Amino acid sequence: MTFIPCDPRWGAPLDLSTQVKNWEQDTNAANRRKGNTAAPLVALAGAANHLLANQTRVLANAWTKDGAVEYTGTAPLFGFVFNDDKVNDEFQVVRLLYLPRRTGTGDCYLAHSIDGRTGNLGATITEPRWPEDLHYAEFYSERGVRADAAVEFLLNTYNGFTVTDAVVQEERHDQLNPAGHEVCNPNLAVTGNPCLADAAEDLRVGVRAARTTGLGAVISWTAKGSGGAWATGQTEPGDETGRTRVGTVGQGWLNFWDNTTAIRAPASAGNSVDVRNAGVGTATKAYLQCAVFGAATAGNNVGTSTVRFSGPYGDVDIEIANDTTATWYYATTALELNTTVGYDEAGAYSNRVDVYLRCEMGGSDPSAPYPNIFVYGLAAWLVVA
Amino acid sequence: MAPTYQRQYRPVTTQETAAYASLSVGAMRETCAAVNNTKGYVTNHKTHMLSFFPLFYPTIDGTNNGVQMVFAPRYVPDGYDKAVWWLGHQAVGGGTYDYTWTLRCTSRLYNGPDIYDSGFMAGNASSSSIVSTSATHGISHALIDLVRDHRGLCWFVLTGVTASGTGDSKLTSLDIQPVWV
Repeated sequence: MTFIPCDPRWGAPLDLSTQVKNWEQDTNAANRRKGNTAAPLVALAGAANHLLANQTRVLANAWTKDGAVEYTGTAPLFGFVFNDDKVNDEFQVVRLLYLPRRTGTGDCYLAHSIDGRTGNLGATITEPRWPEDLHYAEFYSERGVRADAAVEFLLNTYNGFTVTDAVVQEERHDQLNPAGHEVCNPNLAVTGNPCLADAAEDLRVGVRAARTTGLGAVISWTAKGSGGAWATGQTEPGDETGRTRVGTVGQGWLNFWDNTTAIRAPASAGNSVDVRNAGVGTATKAYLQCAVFGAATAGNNVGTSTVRFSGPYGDVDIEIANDTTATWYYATTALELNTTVGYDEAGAYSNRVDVYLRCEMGGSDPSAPYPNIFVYGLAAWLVVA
Repeated sequence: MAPTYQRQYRPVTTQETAAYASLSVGAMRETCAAVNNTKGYVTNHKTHMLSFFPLFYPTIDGTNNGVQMVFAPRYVPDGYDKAVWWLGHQAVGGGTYDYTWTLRCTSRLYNGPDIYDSGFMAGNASSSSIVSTSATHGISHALIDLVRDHRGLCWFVLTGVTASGTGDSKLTSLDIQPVWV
């Protein structure tokens, strides 16, 4: 690896113009072909790797308001999934704000369901005050199996560990290591030697991979579990507990975010998720992979429960099985975004993504109860289809 | 060398892939442009992506600048001096609909009183405000300067106040994304 021949601040442009020259003048002032050496390519690979190592995605986050925090702190708390189609990120960092517990003497901590946990929280405060009594904790968590396309995990609290905000972010590196990471490999170019095209091709492939895999999450919502199960209560307006979102019958398509029962035009007013694809994807195509953490009930196993993600060019429906055990369901097709309005420094443009729920009667048994959907989590991340 | 590509990724051409072909300056320059383009426009993905089902109201109303949310920090790489934040909101209640949401970026955890006290930030905080004046739900945006701690972590705090004492606003979503501007 070599030093990076540009301003180390990563907003600064990379300038190799002094090292990359096709022609130079000889002593008779005649132009002669110079050719390139490998040094600038090594530098460029180092720069690209440093850049990629610092572009740490936020994989998931969830938050609860002070009035809604759970001082008893029992598992589960939050359920998440994140995109894992890039193999560079062996660890995540879990960052937490928490309040002291009120009572109890057992081991009080938060744990990641795959790996990692906080230390035991010993202090007990009878009447903790928000935000004066907020504390910060962080720990590293090894992610799941490398071959996974997506990693599902829970954050679980025990014996009074009360979280008000959790942010899960990729581990930051200073440089990517060619031995263990998917990188722009500078070892293919030996400084001082002529630079051949295959080394540049390797770099190109690396940059391309960085732009098309391991893309960012744009929707992360989770209900708040408690007492060994997901809450079944419907969250009400103004209630910040983050309880389960329940879709019931007779409402047609029910807007997840604002309780309206009408399908809304993508650009119309209303509470939606705004997605800025931020230069990700190709010139004309960017998509969302959508997922739902949920369960459904239906008498006699008839009826259909559906979660719909609605974007500027159409919808993606995810059917939730008639099963009271919650699991993650993934859309089988991606939701297309409008790349021409995908990003603007002033924030003027974005794609609006709505989420709807619908429960339908099915079968011919008139006595069968209508189904209900219980949604415990939503997730979506950018993909290049 | 400024980014010469547009905001969306353009695959770099592969005209020179033979193992023993010499590398032209053109191909090298194109690769540089792709790296610059990545730096400039992919950006560090969303800092927070909170959509509140269905909404929440400020806990502390009135003319006191109440602390409404304190966020866990996240790392933002050097080079991003600002973030753009989007707020889904709707003015409610009486008065003149003048509720002001203010996002603050600091270098440390805010654990002062629930009436915002800048002294707990030791003066090291930036701020950016969005005024909620419409009774129709909408999404507004603004830029905020990023302030980091020694590890590159940004700590965000959201406060709210109404000048009239009677305005109120419900919050439906908050997104924060670093930008290169």
